[in-house]
Amino acid sequence: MAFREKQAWISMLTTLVVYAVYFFFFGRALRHGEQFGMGGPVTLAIVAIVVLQIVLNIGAAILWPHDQRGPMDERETEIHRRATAGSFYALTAGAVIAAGSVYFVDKWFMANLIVGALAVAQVGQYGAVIGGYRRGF
Amino acid sequence: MGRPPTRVTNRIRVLRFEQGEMTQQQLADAVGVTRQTIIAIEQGKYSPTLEAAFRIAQVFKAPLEAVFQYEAAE
Repeated sequence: MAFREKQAWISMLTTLVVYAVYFFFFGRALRHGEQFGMGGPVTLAIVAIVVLQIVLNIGAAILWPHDQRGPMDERETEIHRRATAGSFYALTAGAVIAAGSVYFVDKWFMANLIVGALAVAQVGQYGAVIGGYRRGF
Repeated sequence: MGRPPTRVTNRIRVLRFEQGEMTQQQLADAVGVTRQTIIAIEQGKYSPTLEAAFRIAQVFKAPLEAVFQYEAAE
């Protein structure tokens, strides 16, 4: 497995796990009629993702020291470009849904819809990168 | 349903054999791409850019058409 595919797995899994925890607490707050998100929880989620990814990437580099780590070649660049383009559509769709929700939900729910759109777009992007590496292109 | 395979075929495997079993890694290093990219090209999963195709042909000291062929649609 290419080192960049390992990086994509790390990014996808950390994003998935952290946002799963975040939305678990969001759901719980929603059931209790509490406001949740922005400020503390979102910042904490982003910091957790960054820290986890740094630690796991260092771990991967130690475990697989012989993996190639040069600049991306043309196929890798194209895989990442396609994945980014796909995630842009997911993010745009999420943003449109969030914008439309302004008539139905409060600002906290709307803000969390945007966070959800970001999470889905990111996970989708990493998934598309992994798919690209798995298929060969 | 996946993307249809490329119609660009190649003789890289044969040419590597003729070069004394040049490894995919050696070819990748000579061309400046990863070994996975050479594998994808060999298997017809990825069509290289024109520049990379010329670099591959240059490694084998062969003209481009001796390395890559294009199968026209029926």
